[in-house]
Amino acid sequence: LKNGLLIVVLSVVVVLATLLIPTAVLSPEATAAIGYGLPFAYIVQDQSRIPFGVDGAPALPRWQGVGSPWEYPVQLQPLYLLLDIIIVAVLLGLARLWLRRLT
Amino acid sequence: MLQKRIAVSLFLIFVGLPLGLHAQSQRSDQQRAQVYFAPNTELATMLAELTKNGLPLLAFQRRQPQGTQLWTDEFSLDQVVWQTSTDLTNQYWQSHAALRQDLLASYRRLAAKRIEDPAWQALVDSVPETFIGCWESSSCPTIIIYRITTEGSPQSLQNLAQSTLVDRVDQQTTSNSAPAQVNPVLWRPQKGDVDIQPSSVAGERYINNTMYWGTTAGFTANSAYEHDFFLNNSEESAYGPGTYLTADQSLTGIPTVAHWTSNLPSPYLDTRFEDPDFVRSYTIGAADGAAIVADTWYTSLIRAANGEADIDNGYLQAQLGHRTPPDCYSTWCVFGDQIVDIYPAYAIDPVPGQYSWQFYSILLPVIERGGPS
Repeated sequence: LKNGLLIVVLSVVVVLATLLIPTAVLSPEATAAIGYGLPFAYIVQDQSRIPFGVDGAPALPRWQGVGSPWEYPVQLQPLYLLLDIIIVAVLLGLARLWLRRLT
Repeated sequence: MLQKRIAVSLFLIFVGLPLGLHAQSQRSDQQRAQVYFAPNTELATMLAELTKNGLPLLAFQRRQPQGTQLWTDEFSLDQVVWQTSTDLTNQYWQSHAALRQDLLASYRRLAAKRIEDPAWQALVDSVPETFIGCWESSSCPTIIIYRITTEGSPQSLQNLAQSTLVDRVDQQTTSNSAPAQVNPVLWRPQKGDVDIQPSSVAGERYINNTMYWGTTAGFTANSAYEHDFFLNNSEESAYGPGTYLTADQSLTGIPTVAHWTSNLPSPYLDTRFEDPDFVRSYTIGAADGAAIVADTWYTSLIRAANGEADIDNGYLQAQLGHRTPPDCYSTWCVFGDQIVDIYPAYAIDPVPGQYSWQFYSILLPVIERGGPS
C-alpha cells in the first residue's frame, strides 16, 4: 500500500512537471487553444493576446511554453488529468516491477 | 545503463525539484502587497505606520467621488524624490493637476464625436477637481489614503496587517478555477476610444482609453474586466525598437508609470507577468466587474515617461476575468477567462494618435474601427 501511494504521488508530480514542456504552435488560430500536459493535454490555454508573426513578433510555427494564468485564460480538462495520472502510475508500476526483476 | 538513468531521473524529481522550489521561495521572500487603510487615514499617518514596520512606500491610491462617479488614481513613487509628507503631498497634487489636464485635453479631442451623447457629458462633468498651484504656496490639502503598494518580508507585512489603521492586506495568490464561457456580447464594451498623446508633463506621455457598455449582463459577482492595450516593443518591427511610453517594469512585471486614474469600479494597474518581451501592456482593469453600469462612460488614463520610440503601433483587447479569492481586488487576484479583439495586432497604427471603435450590433460581432484622427 505504501509503495502504491508513493507511485501515485510520484505520477502526480511527473504529470504536473510535464506542464513545463513547450507545445508546438503551428498557426495563429491555434494560439487560442494551446494544449499543455502529457501524455494527453489537460490544460488548454488561450495565448491569442500574443501577436505571433505580426510586425516583428516571432513567427509561427514555434515551441511555446505555458503562460501565466493571470494573463492567459486557462481551461482544465479534469478527465485528461486523471487519465494522465493513471497512465503514468501504471508505467511507473511496470518500471518498478521490471527493476525488481533485474535486481 | 537504464537503471542509472532511472536513478538520475528519480534523483532529479525528489532532490532537484524540492531544491529548485526552495531556491525560488528564497528569491521571492520579499513580497509585494497592496494594503487597504481604514477610512480617513491621512498620508502622514500612513507613512508613520509604514516606517514603524520598516516598509517602503512604492505607490498610493486615493479615491474621489465626483457626482455619480467614483474616481481612483494611483501615484507611483518610482521616479519621485521626496523627504517629508508635505513634500510628497505637494508633488502628488502637481501630478494630479497634470493628470486632469491630460484627461480634459483628451476629451476635447473626442468631443466632436460625442456631441449628442448625454452619458459622455456626464463623464466629462465628473472629472475630479484639483488644486492648481497649491504646491507653490504649500497650501495643498491633506491626502486621504485608500490603498498603498509596499514590499517586504511576510513577517513585516503580517505586522502591518495587525495595525488598527489597516483594513486588509492583499498579496499574490496562485489559486485559480476554470470559469464558464460567457457570450462576449454580454460583457465586452460596446464602444470607446484610444487616445495616445504627449502629456502636459514634459518628458511624459499618456494613453487614455474610454469605454461604454450597452449591456453588462455577462458579469457575475466575481467578474473582473481588463481593457488590455499593447504597444509593439519588437526590435524588428516596422517602426524599430522601443515603445512610445516607457517599457520599464518592476521585477514582478508591474509597468513603471508616473500616475494613473480611472472611474472604473475597483481599478488596478495590470501586471505584465510572463508577457513576452516584444509587447508591452498598459492596462487598467476593473476588479469589480459586477459594479460596471450600462449606458455609462468609463475612462482610464495612464501617464508614464517617454519610451525609446517616437512612433509606434499597438492593439487593444477586452478581457473578461474573475477574482480568486472573491474578496481580493488586486491585480494578483484577477485571472483571465476570455479575450476579444477590439483592434487586432497592430491595427492601432500609428501611435501617437486617436482612434474610436464601436461594435455595431449588440448581437453580432460587427465592429467599426476608426483610423487615426
